[in-house]
Amino acid sequence: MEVTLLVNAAPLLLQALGQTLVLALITTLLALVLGFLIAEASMLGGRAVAFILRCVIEGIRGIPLLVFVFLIYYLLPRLGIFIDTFYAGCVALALFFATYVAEILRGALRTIPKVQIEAGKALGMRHWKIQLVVVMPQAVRIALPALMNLAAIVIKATSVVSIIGVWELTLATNEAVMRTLAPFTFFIAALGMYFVLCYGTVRSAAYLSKRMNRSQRS
Amino acid sequence: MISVRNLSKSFGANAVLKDISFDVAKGRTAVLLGKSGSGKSTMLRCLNMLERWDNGHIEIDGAALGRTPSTGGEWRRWNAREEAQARQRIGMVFQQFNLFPHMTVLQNVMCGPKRILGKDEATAKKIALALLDQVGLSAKQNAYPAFLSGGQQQRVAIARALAMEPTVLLLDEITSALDPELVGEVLEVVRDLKRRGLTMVCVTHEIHFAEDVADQVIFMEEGLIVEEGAPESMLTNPRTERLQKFLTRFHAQNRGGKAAA
Repeated sequence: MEVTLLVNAAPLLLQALGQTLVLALITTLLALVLGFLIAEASMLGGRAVAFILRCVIEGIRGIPLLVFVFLIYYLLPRLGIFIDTFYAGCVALALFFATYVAEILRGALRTIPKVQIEAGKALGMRHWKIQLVVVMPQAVRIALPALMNLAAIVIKATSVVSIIGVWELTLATNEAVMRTLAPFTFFIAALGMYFVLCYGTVRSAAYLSKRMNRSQRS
Repeated sequence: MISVRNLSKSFGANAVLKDISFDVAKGRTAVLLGKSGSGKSTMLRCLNMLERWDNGHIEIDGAALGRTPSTGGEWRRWNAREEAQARQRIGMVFQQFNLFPHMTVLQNVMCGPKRILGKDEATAKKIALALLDQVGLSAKQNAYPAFLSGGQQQRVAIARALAMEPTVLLLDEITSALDPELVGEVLEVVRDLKRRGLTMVCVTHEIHFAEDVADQVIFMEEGLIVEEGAPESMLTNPRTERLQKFLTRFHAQNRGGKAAA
């Protein structure tokens, strides 16, 4: 390991780490919202909508992320959508992981007893308020471990979009390696940073879970 | 004042309500009595539109429920917004309490005023604390429902319904899921509401509940009203054979239960 090389590259790598974090955050938030809408739509929209969404979900889940990223990257301009590579990467990742979020949420939503919805109705709430105030908080508590697990996977998966030229930790590391010809130094440093992010996510998941389970009898 | 006229409802080929008519005067407590499958719960659920009826008419405080007269003598069925709005003034308490498990007792009771009526935090809290005091649970305000006894949960559920200031309160078998020693504390709250002049409709298969709180008992069997009247006369001197049978069986079971205990 060559410490001076690392020290010299540190500002750049930290900036790239920041990019990775932003990418993961945007992706996760977008995937959560999209996944929620997909889950809701497939429960509310009737059989046809549910079937179509089922096909989309199974379709996307059945292909490699790398191929999907390429697909979106080339598809967007064709659809007349010209956006920065960074956002193209976000969109690809978010669409891909929204299907996983939808599946997790659908499973969690199904565990909420129907009488809870009735209790909300009886108070005079309408559909979206019941979802927001009564159903989602309970579903999120149940889905939290799986969602946080997915967030850790998203952090790691952001490295894939380096392939379409999104500048983040993996791409920056690779550039550093090519300039210095010191692959182990930089890739091990990158691994360390990915690990810290993921481990931090998993740990905070455990903490959050514990907090949210205060309402439960153990 | 509640008025039900010629209400009928079927689930497929199974007619659960057959031409039901009754009135409940303002400030009175009506008890729908009957065994399970008699249609009494379905009747109650129609009163806040959790169940749709096929034919007939319900009025609460002089206004039609579930539909509005429109031009040419036609009726227009309410949309989701109108239904929700009407339900805000019709409180309901369930057999299984159905408190929101992710909220504390206080948050459960504040939920209506704050999230539905849009009152500010301080006002909602004041309303909720007053109601928790009324049902004797001020000390539990920060507990989660899972940590309360059934009787306590049911009292919170009543407070949660009352926080919307309903003109009518519907009680669906509210003591049936409770251990016998916890029934008293819930009945106490219901008696208190009766004294305060709240209009209530209760569903039960327990005769003491009817004896305890009813101004008016409506005995149902197989979707029909078999007998209706004041509890004192009806429950001691049933006019119909069906009610007589129901009472006899209930008392026999009760004696059996007590002997076994």
